[in-house]
Order: sequence, then C-alpha cells, then structure tokens
Amino acid sequence: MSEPGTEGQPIGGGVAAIDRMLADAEVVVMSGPGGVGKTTIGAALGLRAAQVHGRRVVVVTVDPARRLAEALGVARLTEEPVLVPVGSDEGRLWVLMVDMAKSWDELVSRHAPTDGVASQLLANRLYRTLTRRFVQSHDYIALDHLLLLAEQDRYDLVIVDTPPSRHALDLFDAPGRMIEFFESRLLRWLTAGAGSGLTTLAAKPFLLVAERLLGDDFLTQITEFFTLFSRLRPAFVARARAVEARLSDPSTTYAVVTTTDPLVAGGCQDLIDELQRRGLQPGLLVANRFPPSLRLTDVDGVVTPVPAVGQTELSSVTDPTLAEAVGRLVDRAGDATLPSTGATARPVVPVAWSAEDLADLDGLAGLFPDP
Amino acid sequence: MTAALAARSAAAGRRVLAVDALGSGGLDQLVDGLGPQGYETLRLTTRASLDEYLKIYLRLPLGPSRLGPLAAIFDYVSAAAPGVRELLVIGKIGWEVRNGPWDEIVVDAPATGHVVELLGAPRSMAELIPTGPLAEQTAWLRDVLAATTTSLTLVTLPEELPVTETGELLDRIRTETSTGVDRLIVNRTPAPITAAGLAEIDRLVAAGDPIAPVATLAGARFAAAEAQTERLRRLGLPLLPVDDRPEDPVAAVLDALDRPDR
Repeated sequence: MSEPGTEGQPIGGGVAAIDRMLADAEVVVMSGPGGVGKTTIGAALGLRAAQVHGRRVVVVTVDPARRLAEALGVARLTEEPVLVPVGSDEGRLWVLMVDMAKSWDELVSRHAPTDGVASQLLANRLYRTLTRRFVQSHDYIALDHLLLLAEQDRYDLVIVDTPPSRHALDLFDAPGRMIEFFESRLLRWLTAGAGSGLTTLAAKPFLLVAERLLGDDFLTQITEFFTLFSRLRPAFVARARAVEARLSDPSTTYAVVTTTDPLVAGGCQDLIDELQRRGLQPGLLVANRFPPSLRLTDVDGVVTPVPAVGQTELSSVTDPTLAEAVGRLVDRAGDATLPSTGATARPVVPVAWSAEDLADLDGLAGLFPDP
Repeated sequence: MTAALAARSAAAGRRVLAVDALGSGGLDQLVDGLGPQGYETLRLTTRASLDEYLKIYLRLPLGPSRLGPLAAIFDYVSAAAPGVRELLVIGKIGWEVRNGPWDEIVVDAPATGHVVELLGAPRSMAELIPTGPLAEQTAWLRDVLAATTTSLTLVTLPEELPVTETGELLDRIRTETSTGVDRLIVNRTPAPITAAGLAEIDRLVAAGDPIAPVATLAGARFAAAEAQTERLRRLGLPLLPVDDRPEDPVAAVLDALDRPDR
C-alpha cells in the first residue's frame, strides 16, 4: 500500500514504528471518533505486544464487542480479565470489559470514609440513576479503571478503549470535571447546612427554586446524594488528580484511530489538536479501512493519502455494474484525507480495508503484518 | 438525513421545523449548503432549552436578570448531573410539538445510546422525581413521546457492527421508551454488482490487473452489505436503502424516499 520511503522504510513508519511503541509503552489510550474500529485496533495492538514483544498486556474495552470476543477465542467479555490463548511463551494477553455500574459501586466503596456512608450512597436513587442510566458518567470510570490496572504489577502494558462520548474530548475532561465538582461552591452550598438540618442562607434561593421544580421528596434525595458524595471528597479528588497525572505521563501514549473519510478525518483532527493543546502527543495515527485505491505519500514530512489507481486502470473493467462499484471507490479516493499529527512527524500506519469480518486471532494479527 | 427529510416535507407544502438536538451546528452547515428550503431550523443547546423550559413551563416569578445566574447554576448541574440536559432538550421539542405552528418536526437526535437517554429522560425523571411540578411536566411529555404522531426513523449502515448496534438499540427503544419506530434507513448501501460483474472480479485477479484489489474490495463490500441488509430485514421494519453517493448525500436520500420501500 505504501511505497518505500527514502531509507527503505515504508511511508508513515509502518509496523516497525508500531513495534517501537509497543516495546516500551506502559499505557496506550485508544482515541478517535465512534465507529472507526478503535476496539479492534486496540486488541490488534495488544495481540502484537504479547506475541511479538513478549509483554503482559491487558486490553480494556467499554462495550461487549461480541465479534471481537469471538475472534479472540473468548466466550464473553467480562469485568474479570480473561486470558487469551496467544501462543507465546512469555507474552500474555488479557481482555476485560468495564462494568460501569459495578465499577462505580466499587469506587464509592473504596473511597467512602465509613461503610455507612458507602451503603447509604449506594442506595440513593439519584446515585443509582446517574451511574446506571447516563453514558456521561462512564468517561470517568473508564479512566479510573485504567489507573487501577496500570498500578498492578501483573501487567506491563494497559491498552484502554475509550467510551463513545458525545464529544471525544469529554473523556479527557472527566477527571477535571470530577475535581471541579467536589470543589464547587454549588456542592458547598448544598451541603453546608445539611449536617445540622439547616440550610445555609446562600443555598436558600437555589433550594426554593429547586423545591418548586422538583418537589420535596427529590430534594431530600438530592441533598442526601450531595451530602454523602461530599464525604468522599478528599479521596476522590486525590484519585482524580492521580488519573490526570497518569494521562499526561510520558509513559502514556495516545493511539488515534481514523479513516481516510474526510468527515472522520476532520473529527480526528479536532481531537489531535485538542490533545496537543493539553500538551498530550498522539504517539501513533492508525488509518483504518485503508482502501487499495489509495497509497501514502510523504511530502516534506507530511504523510498524505493519494489515489493509487485512476481512470486508466478503471478502463480494464467491462461489466457496467462492477465498473460503477469500482468507479465509486476510485472517485472516493480523490477525496481521501488524513489528519495532520503536527510539526514532529509521527507514525501514520494504514490498516488495509477488508470488508470481511474478523474470524480469529490470525485475522486480528494480520491487521499489522510483520514488516 | 434530517435535512433531506425536512426538505422533502417542506417541498410538499408542510410547515416543517428541523431540530438539531445535538446543538452541533452540523445541520446548519448542511442547510446553508442547500439554499432556501422552506423550513426553519432550531439548534438546541442546554442553556437555550433551559431558558425556554423555565420561562414557559414553570412560569417562575423570575425576570431575565434572576434567570441569568440561576441558568449558570443549572448549566453546571446539567454538566455534572447528566439527565437534566436530556430532559431540557426533549422538553423544548415537546413544547414545539404542542404549541408550535408546525405540521412536522424532524429531530436530528444523538447517536446510539444517547438517543435512548433522550427519549427515556422523562421516564427516568419520573422515577427519580415522583411528585411536584416537574413530575407533572414529564407526564405530558411522555404522552407526546408515546403518541402515534411521534416516531423514530433509525439510520444505520449495512455493516456488521452498525447492524448489531441497531438491533440492540431497537431492543432498548422498545423496552426503555414508549416511542414507536417506523422505518430503518440503510445509508451508504453500495451499488449492486451482477453475477457477471462478480465473475469479472475473479478474472481481473487471475490476470493480476492493477485494478483487481479495488474490484475485490468492491465485491466484498457488496456481498457484506447484502448479508447485513438481510440481518436488518429480520428486524421486521420497513427498510429504505440509500445509495452510497458521498458527493451528494441529500439527493441520494431524496431518491430513496421517492422509491417504494423494499
């Protein structure tokens, strides 16, 4: 797909560049727009790290990914790490799926100052709704899980898939939002008088409006929730800071997955720009579903997709229906684009587009063929 | 898709409101590219929906000056406590349904998972808040969502993962919301290839023709799309395949709508 570069290296760095990353990264965060194949690419990276580099890898997913589980030869993804038979002497690969509700409950149990606070909070209706019904609460939990696993000696490398956020960047804001929440005046307002059964003067207008909006019963629930939650504050804030530190640690690499579709690549560019604004560097750009109608070129260090075939090649197709189908793929190649990874050239690795489903471990390993 | 559906109804003389429930502006961009459409667009952000909600529904004794700081607090709560945002957005849409001058409202709803939160927000809130004015408001909102005049159009792709997700989404919609689903749009359906065309792929591969890899991909995409469309058919909803024409997606949708359902 890619022509040889100046030093015999494939353009964009190829699988050799991935190998350099997999040899010593400790945490790889998979990011990219929804539907680009993050989960599969993350699993393929984990498999290569285990098979080729002999590392002990855990891949964390946030969705059930049944087809991937099948390809890995695992009956079902669960919150307990499942060992994948990778056929390596040293390398190990585990996969696990984060159970959001259970993880929140464990987090609360870990951070609560007393068992009483934990059990009251776990029974609170607002707490249960927030942690079970709403996807937004999943962002923070995915990251907390990352830290939990990275702290264990059992694994050399943690690869974490990111949940489908409304905006891909919500994820990176999750720890900050958690800290902000605990340090907010709102929380203090709501909870300041709760211990004595009195409401502070500052909270009064808010509570009057809230009561009018929400009714007394809910107000009791909401006040209980905020009051109980605030008891977890010191532990929670410390934890969220540790998560933040881990995200910006040099041993954490961001693997951005995209396709050459202009809309997807555009969304990915926003993501990369935002990562860089936060001082985080994408260590790898994977161009998934890279069609055979494209090849990569390197113009002054900028890796760009260009059409590999044109009207001349197309003219050898005689059947009109096939010519139409192939012609569309050729036309689309003309619009193909990739996000720019910034001033310093970073690996850009294409993964060949196959319309066939992943069947097994060999199929997964084949996404990154040996250089 | 939203733009195409709105444009089509507007062209038929209906008063149409197209709502961008994501507040992303994507609809505006598309509409700008379409020229005069005869329908209006509404972009919903939390703040805008909230102001409407507080002013219209609850008739709070608050002037704009009091609403400002309060809205700031609510912006904060809606970010920290997801669910509020969904309720406000669906509340505003419900208000337009009941009180607006529209014959039809087309809503660009958020993606898989989020749409269930949006449609389920009144029900979640009702469980959470059984009494009070908000509870009364959520009751009629639920009626609007369950009405036969409200329906969901699901949009998917003829690929394995989107089809699986569509099946799961349909289950969730049926168990967690009261809104009916009327059809399934299969976007980006690749052009059909005849048996003769498929046979030619093998010849091109055997001859080592430079176009062979692209032809192989085209053939594999077509076969996969056929298989996935068959899986979608088993969901028991009318299917509307939309031709894969990235250069003019709106025209592709309009053409599909003018064809009878398959």
